[in-house]
Amino acid sequence: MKKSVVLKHFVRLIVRIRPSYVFLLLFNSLVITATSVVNIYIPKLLIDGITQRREARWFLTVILAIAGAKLALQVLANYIKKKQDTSREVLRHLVELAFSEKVMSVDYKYLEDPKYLDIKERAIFAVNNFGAIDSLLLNTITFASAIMTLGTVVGIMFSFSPVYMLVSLGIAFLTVIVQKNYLSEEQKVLAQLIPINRQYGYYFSNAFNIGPQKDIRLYRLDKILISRLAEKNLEVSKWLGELQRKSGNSNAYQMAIISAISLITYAYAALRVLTDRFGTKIGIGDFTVYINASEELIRSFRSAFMSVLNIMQHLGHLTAFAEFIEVPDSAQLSAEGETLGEIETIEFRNVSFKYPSSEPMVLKNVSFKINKGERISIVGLNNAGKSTIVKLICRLFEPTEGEILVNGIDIRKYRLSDYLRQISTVFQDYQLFPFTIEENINTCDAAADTDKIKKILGDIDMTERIEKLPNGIHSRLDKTIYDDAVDMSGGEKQKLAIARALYKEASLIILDEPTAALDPLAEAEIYEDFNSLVGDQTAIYISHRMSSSMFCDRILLLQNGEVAAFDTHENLMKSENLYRELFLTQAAHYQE
Amino acid sequence: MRANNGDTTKTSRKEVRFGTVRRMIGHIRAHDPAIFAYAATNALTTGIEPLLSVFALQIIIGQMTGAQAVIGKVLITIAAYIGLSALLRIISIKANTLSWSRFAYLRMEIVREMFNKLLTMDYANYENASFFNERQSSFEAVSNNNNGIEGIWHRFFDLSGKVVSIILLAVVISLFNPLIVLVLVLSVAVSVFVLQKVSVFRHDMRADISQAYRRVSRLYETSSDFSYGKDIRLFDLRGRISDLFRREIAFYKDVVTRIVNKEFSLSLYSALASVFAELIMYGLLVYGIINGRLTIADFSMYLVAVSLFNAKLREAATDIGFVRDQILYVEDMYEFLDTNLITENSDKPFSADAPVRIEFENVSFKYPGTDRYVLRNLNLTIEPSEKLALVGVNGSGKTTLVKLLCGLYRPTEGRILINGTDYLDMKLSDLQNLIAMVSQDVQPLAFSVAENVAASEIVDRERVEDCLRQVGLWDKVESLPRGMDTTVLKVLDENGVVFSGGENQKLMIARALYKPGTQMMIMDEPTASLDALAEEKIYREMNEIMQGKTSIFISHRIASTRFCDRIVLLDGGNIAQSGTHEELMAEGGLYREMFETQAKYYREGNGVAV
Repeated sequence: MKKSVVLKHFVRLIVRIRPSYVFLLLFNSLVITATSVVNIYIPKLLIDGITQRREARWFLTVILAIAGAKLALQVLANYIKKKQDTSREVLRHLVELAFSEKVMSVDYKYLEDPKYLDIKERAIFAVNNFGAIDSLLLNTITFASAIMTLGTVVGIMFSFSPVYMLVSLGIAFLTVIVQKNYLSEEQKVLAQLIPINRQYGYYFSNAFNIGPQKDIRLYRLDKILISRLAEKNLEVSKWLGELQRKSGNSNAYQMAIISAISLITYAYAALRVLTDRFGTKIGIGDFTVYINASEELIRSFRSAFMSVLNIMQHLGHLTAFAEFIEVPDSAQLSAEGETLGEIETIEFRNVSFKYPSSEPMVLKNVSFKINKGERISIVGLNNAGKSTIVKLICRLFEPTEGEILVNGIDIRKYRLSDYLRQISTVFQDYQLFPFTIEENINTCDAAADTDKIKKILGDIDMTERIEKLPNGIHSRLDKTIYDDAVDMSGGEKQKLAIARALYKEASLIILDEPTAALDPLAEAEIYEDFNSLVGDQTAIYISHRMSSSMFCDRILLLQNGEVAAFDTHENLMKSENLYRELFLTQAAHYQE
Repeated sequence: MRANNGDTTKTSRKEVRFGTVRRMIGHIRAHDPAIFAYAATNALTTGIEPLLSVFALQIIIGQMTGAQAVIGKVLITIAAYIGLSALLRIISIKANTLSWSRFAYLRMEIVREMFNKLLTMDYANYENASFFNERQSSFEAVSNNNNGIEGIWHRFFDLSGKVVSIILLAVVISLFNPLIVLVLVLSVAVSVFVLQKVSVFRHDMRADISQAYRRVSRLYETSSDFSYGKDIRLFDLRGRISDLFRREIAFYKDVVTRIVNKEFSLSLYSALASVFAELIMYGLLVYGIINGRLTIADFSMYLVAVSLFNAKLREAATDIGFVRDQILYVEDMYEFLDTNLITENSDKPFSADAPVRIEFENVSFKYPGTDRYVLRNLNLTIEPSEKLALVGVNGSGKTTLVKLLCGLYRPTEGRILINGTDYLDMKLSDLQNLIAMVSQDVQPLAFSVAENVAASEIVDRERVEDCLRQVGLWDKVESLPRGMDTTVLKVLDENGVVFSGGENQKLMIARALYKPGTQMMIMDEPTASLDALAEEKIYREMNEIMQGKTSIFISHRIASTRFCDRIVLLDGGNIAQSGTHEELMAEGGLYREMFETQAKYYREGNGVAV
């Protein structure tokens, strides 16, 4: 993606989420420019006063005026800085929010596409490790003020000598070239450092996370970790040293070039004082003005260009970010469509499917029909396509071939929010959110139905556990975000996920390996009450434990992406098939 | 944590501060004294250069306004000044860049030291929610090149040159009128005072701001995490998460605003002081012109000198403010490094060359800082070479029991004996040398397969192969491009291998088998990730894998414990039932209930008579 496009995305983003930032940029630049100009002219004012032999009173007035002006400008500058610092901090997080909203709004297929996962990782990496967004913002501030100052000082210098101004700017441009060369060298070295940074992150996660700590102590893994880290440190310091060497050389060249400009400036200005061969003679006061202005000219010129170079660099880092922001919001979100009452039938007609960016067909010509109120168990070995069928029903993906019908209509024709309102899920990799327990369970009502929640908590045997919590059902769940949040064990979290699915009272409930983490008693209780918990909803149930298929009406047996059988447990047990084999293997443990 | 006490502790705080500075400089002297040479060079060249500007200007303007201005002379003076100035600056640049990365290396080595401390400290600290929170600032002290200890070192490096210029310029200006120096110093002192107030305020607010910042960043991580994607869409939570995120940003903004407002109101004082000083300065200089003490050349010179002096003084004040701000973090860092985080129970050696006998004698335990007893008056003896199954519902105390046995925690009451010796009466490392453990849900490290199995850089290759064969992983490892030298995980080597959940578990079992000299084996849900057929295989070979060591096998699937000699059922922190599977079934009670319920679904459908 071209940097200009990245810039365009960011400008549009900033203007959308916090336009006041742009105004602050302008005001800041104005104040800085005004301050520079005042500082340039002060010596001239006083020196001219001296050569014109002004009286003490004149000087007093001038000095007071200078003091007043500087005070006003300083206070104004501080005020703007205050506003700007806040704005920058907030803007940084608003940009992150915009990114998150994008992640939540794109078609789901992007989230399982390794290409986009990589883009996202790179986007977040740039922000976390290079502070790319913050640096971009800071550099825009620098650029805006530098450009404004430059413009003003160019005006001053033009009246002095346009030739001199162009010559010195031309030479100053050389420093920009030197800097650009250095920056591309820097990029190369930093590219080497990126994987090393990631490796550091890995070592730190081993020191800061509790997960590996038991094993680290019992196997004294600290020794190997520390030894590797020592090697890394040497490697990094070598790269940093090289980078510094290049930086030093670049700075030295630039210093030499700037000195050359100073030489020309002083010499030319001195000549204009001493003779009129190059133009009207100027006084000492003007001499100081032009020396100061020239320094300011070169400074703001270089600053403007350097900030552009830096901005280009940051835009480079933010390319992944922009690439992700560019992904369109899911069309399904705003699409019109049919409304859906209850789900009466679900039918797969010749459905084939392969995941984006991957070759093998995960489902091949799958056809089956489920009727309202049926309990279906989907069974098969790992990667047989079980979860895929469920993701297709949930419209997370679209079939590559064939169609899926609910109540006889292609599911894509329904309005998405209506359609999903009729489906409740508990996926194997379900997630709970940093809300309160009540907010996690109630995802569909404006105000929670506390009686319904109480009943559900009773059904899943969590009443006591939650009543014991200091904030009860209003306890928050994520301890890394809220200090007063509560810890739940894996099994308890799973129960809450089940409660969330039950609360919705959707006409189809899908449970994908929901009891894997529960102990046998808890598992049994869920099984026991499963019929009553689900009520008259249609249910699809995926589990490795064959025992769960006992209370299902029919079992969908998947093998190599195809439907091997769709029948009752009794019928399946009558002949040799994968289902029978899996069932008997697991049952063997329970033989007396 | 450091509290802002009253005046009585102010002196001691200053002493601590200077002590820390001395320590930081001493660290350089001890590890990389060459840096001092670079610093001295930089100090000299950077220090003298401003003086050069000051005098050069006086001479040049003097020559231009003199009675007979000779163009050639002026031009030569200009050339000499510029040339010399450039030379000094280039030398200083070199000195800076040659020493910069050395500071970075020193910091990274301190990180390694802190890292080592974490990896060897008491395990309990990891389960203490406030441990890392409280030490956040000590880690910040070493987190990057620009802040913390490295930031301070860089500033000291720059500061040395500035101090030299400040002193030289002060002398020059005082030759005219020392009052100017005084007034400028006072105004900078006000600025310093203000900066200090601001930094103290920031430091006091750091808990608030780090909490607010953490909340926003964690929300960002969560809401942009792809793995939340399904549930967000299926439960229509977009709006709610956006709202929560916005609320947290608003909250963060409030905290930032408080800090920034304070900064602004205090900055008014320094602006006033600075302008007042300039007033005096201009006044005195103009007075000097009026009464003939100064020529225009002198006047210009002093203008430049004062401006440079002011600028350098302010820069130095900012640097000192920065150092004051950051040194608090460095002090926290030293406090962390100086604190002993390892509780040694004893240094008595202990060894065993046969499977051990383990006794829990009236053991009760509650986690530090909590009131609930997780284990109560537990009495359990495990005979040498016995294979014990530990079962129970989630929260019954199984994992806690294991953590106690491994010495990661100490019993609140009661004793644990190994071969009759209280295990608190032996070196912790000796105890842990006897234990081979396979934990639940553990990831291998991103080193080679062999190094993972050996848990060390030193590898006995035959032994590694042997262990891998035993767990049924050798064929897979042999087929890898670099065999057992292949790196595991992709994070450190993009050609690394990522094992499946089941293969990881086998690898971890192989590591337990490799560990030499162990006399007890603990396995915590070792087959949770394996499918029915692989699980079957491991159970069948469990006897060989346990190798006759005293073994504890934890599972919540009752059926998998049938190969053990004895089953212990934990309930509510104590032993509810204990015996062989047959005995427990005959006894009736909780065990039977659990077994029956799990088995029921298989029996009914199987049609096989029980």
